[in-house]
Amino acid sequence: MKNLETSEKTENSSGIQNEKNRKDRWTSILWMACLFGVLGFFLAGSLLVHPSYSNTERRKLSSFPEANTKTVLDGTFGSKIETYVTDHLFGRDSLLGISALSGSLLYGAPDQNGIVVRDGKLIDVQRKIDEDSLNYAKTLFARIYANDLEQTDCRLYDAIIPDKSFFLKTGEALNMDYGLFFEEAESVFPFATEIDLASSLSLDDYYATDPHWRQEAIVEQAELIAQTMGAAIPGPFTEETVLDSFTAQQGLQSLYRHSADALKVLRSASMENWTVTRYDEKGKHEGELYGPVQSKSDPYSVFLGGSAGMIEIENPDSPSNRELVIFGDSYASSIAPLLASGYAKTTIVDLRNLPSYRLSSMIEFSDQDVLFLYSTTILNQAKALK
Amino acid sequence: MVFSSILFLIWFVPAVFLIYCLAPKACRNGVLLAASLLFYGWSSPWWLVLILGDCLVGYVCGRLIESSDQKRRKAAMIAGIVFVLSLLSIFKYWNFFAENLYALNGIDWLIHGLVLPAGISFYTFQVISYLVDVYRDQAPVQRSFWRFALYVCMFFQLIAGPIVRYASIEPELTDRTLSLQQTAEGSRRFLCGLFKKVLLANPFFALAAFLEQQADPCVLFFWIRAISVTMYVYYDFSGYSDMAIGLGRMMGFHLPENFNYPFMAGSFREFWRRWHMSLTTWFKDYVYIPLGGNRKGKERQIRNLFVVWLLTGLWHGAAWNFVLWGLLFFVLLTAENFVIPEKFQKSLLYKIAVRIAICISFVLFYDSTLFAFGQDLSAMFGLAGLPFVNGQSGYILRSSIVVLLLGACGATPWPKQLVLRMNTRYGWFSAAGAIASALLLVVTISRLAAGTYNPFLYFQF
Repeated sequence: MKNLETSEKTENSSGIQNEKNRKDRWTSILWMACLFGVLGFFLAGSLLVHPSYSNTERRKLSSFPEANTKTVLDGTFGSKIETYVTDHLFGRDSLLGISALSGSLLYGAPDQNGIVVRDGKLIDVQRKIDEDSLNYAKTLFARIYANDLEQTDCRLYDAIIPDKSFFLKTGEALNMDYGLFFEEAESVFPFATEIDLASSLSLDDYYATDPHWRQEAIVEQAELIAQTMGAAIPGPFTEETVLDSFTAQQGLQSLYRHSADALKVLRSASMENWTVTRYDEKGKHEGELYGPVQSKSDPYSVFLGGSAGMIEIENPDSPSNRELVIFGDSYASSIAPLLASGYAKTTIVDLRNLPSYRLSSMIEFSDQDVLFLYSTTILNQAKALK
Repeated sequence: MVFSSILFLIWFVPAVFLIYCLAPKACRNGVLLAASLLFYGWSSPWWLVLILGDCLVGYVCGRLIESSDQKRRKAAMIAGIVFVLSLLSIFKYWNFFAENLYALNGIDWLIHGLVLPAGISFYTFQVISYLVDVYRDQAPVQRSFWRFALYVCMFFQLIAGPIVRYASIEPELTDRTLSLQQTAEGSRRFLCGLFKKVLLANPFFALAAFLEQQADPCVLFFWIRAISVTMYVYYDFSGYSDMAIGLGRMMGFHLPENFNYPFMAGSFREFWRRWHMSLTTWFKDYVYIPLGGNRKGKERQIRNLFVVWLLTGLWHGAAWNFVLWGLLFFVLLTAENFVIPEKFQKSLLYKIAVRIAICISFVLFYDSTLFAFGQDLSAMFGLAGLPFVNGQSGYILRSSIVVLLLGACGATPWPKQLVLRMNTRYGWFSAAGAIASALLLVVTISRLAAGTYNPFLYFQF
């Protein structure tokens, strides 16, 4: 009898063990399926789909790096491959949204990837003054002044455009000390007359989902600049909507509720007669004052057709024979058409695309008005300027 | 290549694991070694020359130790150790000493362009432990060069440990089994480490960087930063160790544990029994005990502790802050061993003081210069004239409270205990855990795709 009980107990215990083993096996299979299912999903997707452009980031994705003995041995091939596979990860655009959402859901972060929302405007919070960048800008512009401008009769001006983060209140988000920044940024252009734009701007003057200012909202600032330089801006301008629903990079990457803007340009009767010449990677060729909105490019590049090393606008109806040279970034491309109304020739130089050592071969500086027009964002990342 | 990169996670791991599983058993070591060399040489193929040089010297000296008389055995061991330590000294410490020499008397012995090869401190220590163990007859000699190279180069622990002792892994280099359960267990551990790194260490790093950027700081910011830095170092390193152990398990290896909830420690001694355990035991077995340990009187013990902690500091980096970090623990441990009354050591006040001191030690560990550490320390203790809180404190607390709580909770054994209890009580819990992990993996991949900052701190060692 006792033996029978023991045998029953052993059978029961072996049954329990078998059941446990079976359960463990299924759990193990589930774990493996979850891990390799997710990894395999992204791997298969990345193998099958090869986008060349990111809609949410508004940029071309990196191309497969060149492999040769030199790039392999110096490690650049390896590091570029890492960038390439990250860029070409399947579902990348959706993953950027998930990343932003996870910041709020997992950590209760008051911002999404550094973006906050105020009055329906998405704002990329600028947190730190980059002293190295400002010092770099100081050296660069001092060299340009010494090499190209000091010995001329050019009249020099500078205006700094605040980015949207400037309009946040202290404690609302932790943005950088703009008072200090403007103080330091002014010392980048000690040779130029300062034009204060920040005090006349408000958050309303910017797009909701794009970092730039709206052309139709900055006529007052264009007039202020022109007036300081002793020029006039003959109007009137009429608004033309080129894109009804403009959602830019900040909007595409954010899950905050926000509205789309209408992308508008300002036209005047005389603009029909202007000639625009671009100097870019295609060489010298005819450009457009307002280019078409293309599906695979940033809609903001409608202004002057996007960035180029140098763009010249010739205005035969100008009230004077004066010439203007603008050293600027993307913010300059939307205000340049307004300023060009008052000048016979306006040259826009983007030092991100045109190295400063080439200036003397491209422009003959004599007695032009020269305006240094940079946003706080670019001055804080001035190493992009060459 | 880092573990928390898309290239490693989506391409390298699935490809290597698939080939490894499909390969005949006899070829698996070859697959693993090839993958390890590819992994290590990815950023700089020149590093392969160094590591293979170490492998060759370690292997040859091991064979010489086996086949020689006592005198030659010792010579072979010393020659091997001198060689690997010379490489480590040149690549890691030469410029540190040259900089200090230059500062002292203007002699310029700097080698420009000298780059620290990733993981050199880890594999150097593995080769040394092998040679010493073989010499002491505590481990058998490895007669296959390729197996020895695999021991040194295994990609999952090559860069940031844990430091594996040859004797503990020797049987698995020859014969190991792959099982579904073991692989699943390994993948769980790997995911746990990956989540620690991407979902905790990176946000702590970002929080510390965020606080450093504040133009208008206050005392509270410096304390939150100190906690963030401490948590960052912990989750970064323990996350890597978990990933290494998990990947090892998936491939049939059992690597030693490296962390055991170090912040649960109530004393400095206990902290070091729980933090970077493979390094602590390495120094104990190969430096402290051979020097005499605590067997030759108090003075010798203090001297031995000094040597061990000086070397521990230097091992972490060729900079004065690491040296002082090591010496700080020498002072704290000596005080704990010989000065602080045992009764006080059992008090709550002492346990709080230990944690605060550890937190401060990691600020020293993390700061780039001693000057920066001095500034941080004076700000933390209200000597920099800053207010305790300011108008932005509310925003900072709102931004950081969840990650601080998650970090504090994750540094205790309670989440693990809860999961084990739930697994026992509810049959469905393990399946739910797998699905939740899959979702968290998607979130993790999304954060890597978004370019969240994620280099491993311990790579520099």
